[in-house]
Amino acid sequence: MDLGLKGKVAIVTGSAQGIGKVVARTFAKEGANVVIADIQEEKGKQTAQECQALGVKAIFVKTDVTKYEDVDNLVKTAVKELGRVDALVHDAATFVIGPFRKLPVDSWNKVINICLFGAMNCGHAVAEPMVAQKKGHIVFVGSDAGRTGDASQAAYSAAKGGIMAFSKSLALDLGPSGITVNVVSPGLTLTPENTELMEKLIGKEGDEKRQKVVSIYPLRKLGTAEDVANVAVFMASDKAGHVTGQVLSVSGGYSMVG
Amino acid sequence: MELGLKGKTVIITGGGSNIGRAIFLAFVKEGSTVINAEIDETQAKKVLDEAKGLPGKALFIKTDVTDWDSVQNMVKTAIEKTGQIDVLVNNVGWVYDRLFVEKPREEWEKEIKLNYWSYINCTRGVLDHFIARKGGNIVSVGSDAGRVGEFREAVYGGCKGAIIATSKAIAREVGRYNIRLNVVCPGATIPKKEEVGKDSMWQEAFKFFTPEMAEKAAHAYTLRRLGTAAELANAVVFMASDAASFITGQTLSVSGGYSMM
Repeated sequence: MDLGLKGKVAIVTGSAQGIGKVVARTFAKEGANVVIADIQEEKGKQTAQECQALGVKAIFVKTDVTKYEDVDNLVKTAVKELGRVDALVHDAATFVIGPFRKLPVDSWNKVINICLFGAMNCGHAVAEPMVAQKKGHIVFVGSDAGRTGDASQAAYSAAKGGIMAFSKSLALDLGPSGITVNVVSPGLTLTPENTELMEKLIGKEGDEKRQKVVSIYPLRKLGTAEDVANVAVFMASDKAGHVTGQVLSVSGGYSMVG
Repeated sequence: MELGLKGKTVIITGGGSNIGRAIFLAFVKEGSTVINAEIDETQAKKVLDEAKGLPGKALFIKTDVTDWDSVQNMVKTAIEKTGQIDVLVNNVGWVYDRLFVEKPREEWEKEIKLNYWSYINCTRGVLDHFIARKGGNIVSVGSDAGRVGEFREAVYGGCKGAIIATSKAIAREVGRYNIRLNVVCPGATIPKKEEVGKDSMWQEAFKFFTPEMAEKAAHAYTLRRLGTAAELANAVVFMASDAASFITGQTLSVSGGYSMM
């Protein structure tokens, strides 16, 4: 299916690694020019290079999504260097794992700041060029933790749940200007960079501990960054032009809500 | 985006007009072999003609989806003709908009037959085959009426809600065989007059869904317009594809923001 993304401009936050990086590469494969936004400079530039190798324009803009001036600069640079902004995918995130009552109170701020305030900063900054164009697609990467809650992930669940509510309000605000806003919601997702972390959390492949976790998923497997990226890029395309204010879980049936 | 649908066999129920027709043509465009399980022969032949020249193959098997024997026959014939079924799209639906307290019982029974029993028959009809080959994909057309409730569509909405709930249950049962079930929900999707058959529900429904009413209804959508059948079809094709291979038990509204859950 031709998603109609050739020559379009997509900003991807959190694209130095993980799902964000695969989202950026997927955009590039579809012929879109990409803006890599991340606080990690070396890895971010690496992603930009890999996208260029796929035949598109790709620039890296160092961005701390918790600082509005950074995000504002990100969007303005995208418009200046690449002409416009057709899509934004926000994947910048962090998490703190542990039983809520044992976590230090100041550990929540980081999670809410990067995930939720980051999303709000991006939604605010990118609205201006998109409204002027009377067209645009915004996709936030949420989490099933925000849909059904996740044990030992209180701040993360709150932030991702907040992103979902925010995205609907934003969809209602921007809809009359022809802009869609949606959320893609992964479950446990394997990325090239998180193998070690996953092993720590749920055991090695083949372990009984991991088998137990995998058996909770109706499709009997965990997600990959590609699974999530395909859906995010589809939502960011004109082929999903009548989809807005929606949350779609890409988590093998982990949650079946609504 | 590579969707992996080339050469796959897709069954669509009620592909004779409106949303079903758009889904049928969208899959043929992807290079699939598409079977129209449609009761209206004239409409089905019209759509076969429209499919000429597109990359895939277009076939027709006359089917009454409310009749279990007819459905079993259709599935058997489909497997004989194509060797393997990959996707089922449950699209047949019927509604007559009326306040719940003004509805005659026969209309409820017709709605339950055409919306829910059709879904049960066809889903059950392909599942043995899907389980045996450890793969398969069922995408059902729901409705925002089944998610958030809709004036004048109480039992119709109930049927669409039933499709959502049943798809989730079956998704849990057969996920282990690599079989996925999902539901895609349109908002009001009004066909062109020349597109529908003489027995179509739209012959009556056009009296209600006038151009003036459609313009008024558009205000309820944040995108300020009603959706097209083609837009719904894009989402169905995507959900049936390899690109959506980790999605199951989900409901996606393609309705311009009419419902946000």
